[in-house]
Amino acid sequence: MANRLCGTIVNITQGQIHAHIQIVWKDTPLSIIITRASCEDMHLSAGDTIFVIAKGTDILLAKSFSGMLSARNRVKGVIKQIIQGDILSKIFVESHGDMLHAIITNTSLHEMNLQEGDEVTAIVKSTELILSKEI
Amino acid sequence: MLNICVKKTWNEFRLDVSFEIPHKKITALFGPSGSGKTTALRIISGLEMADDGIVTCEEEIWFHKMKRINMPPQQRSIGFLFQDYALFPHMTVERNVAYGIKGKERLQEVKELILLVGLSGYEQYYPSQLSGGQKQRIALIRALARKPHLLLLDEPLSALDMEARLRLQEDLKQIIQQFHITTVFVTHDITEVYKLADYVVVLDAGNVVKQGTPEEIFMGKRLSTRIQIVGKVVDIESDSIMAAVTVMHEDQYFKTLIDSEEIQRLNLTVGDDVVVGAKASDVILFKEYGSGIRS
Repeated sequence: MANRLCGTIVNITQGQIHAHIQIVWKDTPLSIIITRASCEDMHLSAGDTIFVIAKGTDILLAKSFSGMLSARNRVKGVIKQIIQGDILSKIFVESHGDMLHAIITNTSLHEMNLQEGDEVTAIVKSTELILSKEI
Repeated sequence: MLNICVKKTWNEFRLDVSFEIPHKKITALFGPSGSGKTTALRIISGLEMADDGIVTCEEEIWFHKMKRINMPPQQRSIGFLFQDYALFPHMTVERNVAYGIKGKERLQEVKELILLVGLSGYEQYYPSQLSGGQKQRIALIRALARKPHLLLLDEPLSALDMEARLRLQEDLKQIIQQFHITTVFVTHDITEVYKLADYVVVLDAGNVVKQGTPEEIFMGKRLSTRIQIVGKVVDIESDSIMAAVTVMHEDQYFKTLIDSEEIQRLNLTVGDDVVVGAKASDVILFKEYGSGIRS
């Protein structure tokens, strides 16, 4: 299933077209860009409990990550399980007691030599995340 | 405006509903099996009597328990369309449609109605010689021929296969709009609600749980995705990691890729109604694509 993180909205900045939603999930700041229209339709406001949804295919994994990167959302964790398919692999990462997963190619899995127990950073751009009020 | 405020109890089930049907709009009574939607429709029609309450249609009292008013169905100016067509099997198409129409213009009217549903040339056919979709078209114009104030449809397309159902949904909407008639239909199919209804009353366990436009009821408020399309799952292919789910919306097919675990979590099967959500920023637009196709 898609990754669902339950957090709290701490700030909303509205532009002409977009809204920048800042959320705290287990002391980790998350940054989400949605349309201003969606922000208004959902009646979002600071203090709301909200689910952040990230498809496994939208999550990047970095190992020994350093340097600068434009993606705003970075969550550190430890690989708990790897399920390998014929082309893609599903990597389960435990972070702050929650389990996330990323779906990556087997080529990346082998190139990065990912193993259970490795420390990784799950990365996702602000524009790739979806917010849900109830799900 | 049709106003319904009724109660009825039988066996363990209790129907207790209060809602309004907007004038000259198409309203869906939507809910799962056993939610009370067909009973509500039958109470409106007068085929079933409520234990208590009031049913009024444009200032006319059809049912009022306290005042002991219960207008018989034939006086309520209702056209009724059933899922099993209810055509007279021994009458031709022409005689089925003409049934109940009075006056010297009768035959001309019948001809025009048959033309309206694209069945000219079938006047002398019997119902057994027609397809399910053709039978339902004839049943619809027969229901409309007497120019009722209210049209009631009880799961009108549920007996048809998916292809015939999709074709008839479009025709049904156009025909009803031409007659400009207040319409109430019962369904458990979300795509049917989207296709046909201007307004939805959602019933569950004998109560009205929501009412509003289809967009207000099903869309928009929970998810931040700007693109939300209601469709029907027509195919699922899954491997250990990902699943390809094909969704049909009107006559378009979308192939979506989701985590295969999502199939189990949602208990997703072919035939299910789903909302396909996508972020506005994930869409590509083409103005002219290939040989004049716009997408």
